[in-house]
Amino acid sequence: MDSWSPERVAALAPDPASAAAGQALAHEKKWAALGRSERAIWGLCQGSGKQPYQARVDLAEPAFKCSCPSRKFPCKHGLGLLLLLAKNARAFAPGQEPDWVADWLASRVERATKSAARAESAGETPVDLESQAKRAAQRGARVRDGVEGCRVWLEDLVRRGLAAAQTDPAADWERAAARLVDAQAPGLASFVRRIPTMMASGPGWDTRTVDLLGRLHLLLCAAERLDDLPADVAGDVRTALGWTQSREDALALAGVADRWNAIGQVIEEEERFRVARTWLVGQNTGHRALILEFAAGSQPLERSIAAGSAFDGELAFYPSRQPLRALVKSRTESFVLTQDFGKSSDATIEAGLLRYAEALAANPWIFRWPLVLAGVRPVQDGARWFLVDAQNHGLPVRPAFARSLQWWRLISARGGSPMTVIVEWDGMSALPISAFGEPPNQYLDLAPRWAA
Amino acid sequence: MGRLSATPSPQERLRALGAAVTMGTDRIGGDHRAAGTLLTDAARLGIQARAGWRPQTLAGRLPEAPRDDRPDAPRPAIATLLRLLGDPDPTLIEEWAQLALSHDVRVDGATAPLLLDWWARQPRRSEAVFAALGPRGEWLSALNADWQKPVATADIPADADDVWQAGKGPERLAILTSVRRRDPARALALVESTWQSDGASDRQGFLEVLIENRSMADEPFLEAALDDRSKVVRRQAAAVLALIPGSRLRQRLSDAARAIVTVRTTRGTLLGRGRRQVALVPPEAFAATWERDGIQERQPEGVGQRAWWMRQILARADLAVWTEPTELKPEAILESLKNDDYFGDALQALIGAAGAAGDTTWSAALVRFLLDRRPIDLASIATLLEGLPDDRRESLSLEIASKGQLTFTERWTVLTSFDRPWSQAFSAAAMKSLSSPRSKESEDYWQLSGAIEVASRRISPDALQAFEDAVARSFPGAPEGRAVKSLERARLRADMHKEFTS
Repeated sequence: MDSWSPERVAALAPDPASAAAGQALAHEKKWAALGRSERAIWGLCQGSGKQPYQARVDLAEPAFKCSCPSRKFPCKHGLGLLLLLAKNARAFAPGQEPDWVADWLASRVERATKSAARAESAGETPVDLESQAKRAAQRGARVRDGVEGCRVWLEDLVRRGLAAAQTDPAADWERAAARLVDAQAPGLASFVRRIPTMMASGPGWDTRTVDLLGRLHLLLCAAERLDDLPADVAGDVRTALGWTQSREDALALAGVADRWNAIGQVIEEEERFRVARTWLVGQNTGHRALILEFAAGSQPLERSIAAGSAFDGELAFYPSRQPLRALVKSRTESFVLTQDFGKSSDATIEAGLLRYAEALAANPWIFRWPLVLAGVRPVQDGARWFLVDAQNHGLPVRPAFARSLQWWRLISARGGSPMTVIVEWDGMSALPISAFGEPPNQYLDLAPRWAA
Repeated sequence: MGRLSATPSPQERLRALGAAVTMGTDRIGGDHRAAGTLLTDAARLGIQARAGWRPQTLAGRLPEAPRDDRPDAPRPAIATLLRLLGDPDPTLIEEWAQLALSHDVRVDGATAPLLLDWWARQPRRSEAVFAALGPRGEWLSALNADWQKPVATADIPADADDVWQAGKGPERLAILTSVRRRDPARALALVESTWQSDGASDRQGFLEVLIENRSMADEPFLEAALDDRSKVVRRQAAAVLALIPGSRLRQRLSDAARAIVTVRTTRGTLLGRGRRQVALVPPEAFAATWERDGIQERQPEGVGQRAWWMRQILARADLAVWTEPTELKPEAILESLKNDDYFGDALQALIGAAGAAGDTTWSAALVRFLLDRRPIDLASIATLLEGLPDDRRESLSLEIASKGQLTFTERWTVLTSFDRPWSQAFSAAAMKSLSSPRSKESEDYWQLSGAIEVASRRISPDALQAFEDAVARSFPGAPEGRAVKSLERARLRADMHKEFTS
């Protein structure tokens, strides 16, 4: 992978401040002992500490490692190093990897081998079936209590009315949510936390809120008869309740091989953690996939896939009626994302909505769905903005996004002409997350983490 | 799907449920099962509404963006621009835009709104930045009201008269500024067209705009404004007239000044003719007509009353009131005056008058004179240099810096006393004149850092190495925070210039 451009590197930055800090370090004068090998680059950067920081980048993924204390990931040193490579590759002397680089690369290879081995042997490992069943039964009982409590609480809310609940102190909502976390149903807790947010979401809030309550109700009904449901549906219900599925189990399943296009990445801050949503579409299978990566508290948020890239490899999907959440099982080669999505593009808005309706029919708790809209143009109708396709069908753009500078980047990218836009669709409004700009069809990152 | 058209859509039914759940089922008379029923309906309708969502039909499209055939700005230059947008220093972005213009390259579509938005948020909207955005910038500014103020566009907007007649205060001020820059007479006509109905503070603001491109053509109007009903307007009119050579106000005050600047010839001796001696005679009383010409009667604290009147009059009088009656050169006048009781006041007035008139001879004489005085008045020197044309300013400040009597910090300060781009030759010469090592005397680090900061913004990028060396000499240890920032800025500018040529 030699084709590092400054834009591609910038897309790896966790936030604009880091991108700017990395830019400032992309200068030979900032570094000592710059070097490169077939698979990695490295350098020493004098920071505020006594010892210079040792920054190194594994070019395959890319992966970063630095001895600085930053909690950002990748840190500015890693970004600066890679940016410098993009700007001036000759600054790096080809040579032998020093120990601090070679050791790290070796440990990465070892870890990868181990986890592959674990995934392979996961099916064979003898498990203590008895104690596993016991734990599951215990959790099942607790969750049933949580579901019961939540039903009483929800019906009480509907009887009192949202207008009355609007004046409830924030602590009341938090207490209701905390009870559900104690009952080991964090999925229900996050439903409850979303209600006050939805009630404060501006015009049309009551329709959106009753929709959310209906979905929570549907989940409670399904949870009550969990044992009667087909296995895959029961799995989706457990996921919606907040049961974590095992990574190892998923990785042990057969992978789906394809050219996977990373069409967008959204980073959101929740109360106690940050989450990166990376959307992928398969060039030949047309499958949509979602990779979630989390970081608690102040931990760095590591992202294994850069938005705007593509790779050949296998994804392992978590079992579901509508497989969507996935893990990278293996990858061989990475590329720069091109606008050609083959079968995976939604040729018209109608076709995209049909795919979404099918997904929703299989799993009604899908909150976001990626639409790969080819040939849409921005159109203003009154105060609202739409993305309109060649058949003059329009999707409303989420108002908060249409007020942001990112929306104007999208409009201006092609001067209002039709273009390819990727959106997250929630059934009512579209949130653009990326687009393809002027020739040569440059990938444009529009995800909210960059929102001004 | 497949329903009769009269049946309400799931969206509409969901909306009705939204209204019901806002009230609460107890309040709308439901029984104990009503909440459960409502939730079940909401669940079903919610899924139906999302899964069955039909797109709206919209035939519209945006006006087509005009073509821009300039080649794209190099990617590294765009990357630098994106980084600069987060920087609080606007001069770097303005320099970037100048470079884009001179290389005739365009800002790509996805980047244009970021630069346009930055531009629109600046208190002083740079014309170069808007011009660099080209047709895409014009197109965007027509689509977004926040960016719609075409004040800084290359031409006077077609609707200038409408905006002037019907616009709000800031818009009118902006349009007036724009028109004044290109068609001064038309700007004056605009001001006159609504003068009778505009409020006092608006009128004062408009007169302030007329300072740019002022000429004798404005004089009759301004002279009439000296009798305006509002005091702030009268004051402002007087201030503008004082800046117009040949105005009646300047003539009146020059006449008053001639009574102040007097000449005596000392008695000749056997060996030579008598010398001409200049003496200052401040006015004995405040003339009734001065008030109208913007002269203030009440002096500020700590200033003598007569000296105060004198200082104001001399600052607004033609410089000829000094040279004509005395038949002396500026240097000789200053030399002759320096023991006068009122010399300090006269010097301030002269610095103001020479700076405002951009008089090269007087400015040079005053600068040289100030250099020999201690403590050295660097602020006044800077004011005088600022008024000079670029080449004169550069050669004079080099001459000053090469003189031995200044400390290292003072040399830096003189060389950086004007905040405008430096020529290549000056940049190199200025750094060279800072080559002697620091003296033992204590330097003012704060002042030194300030001077280095100005240099980092203005120095020609070709002189980067000389600048780095000069900064290194200025800080025998490691440079501290502000100087480090300046070094980074200078390097960034040098990189930026290279990025456009690659």
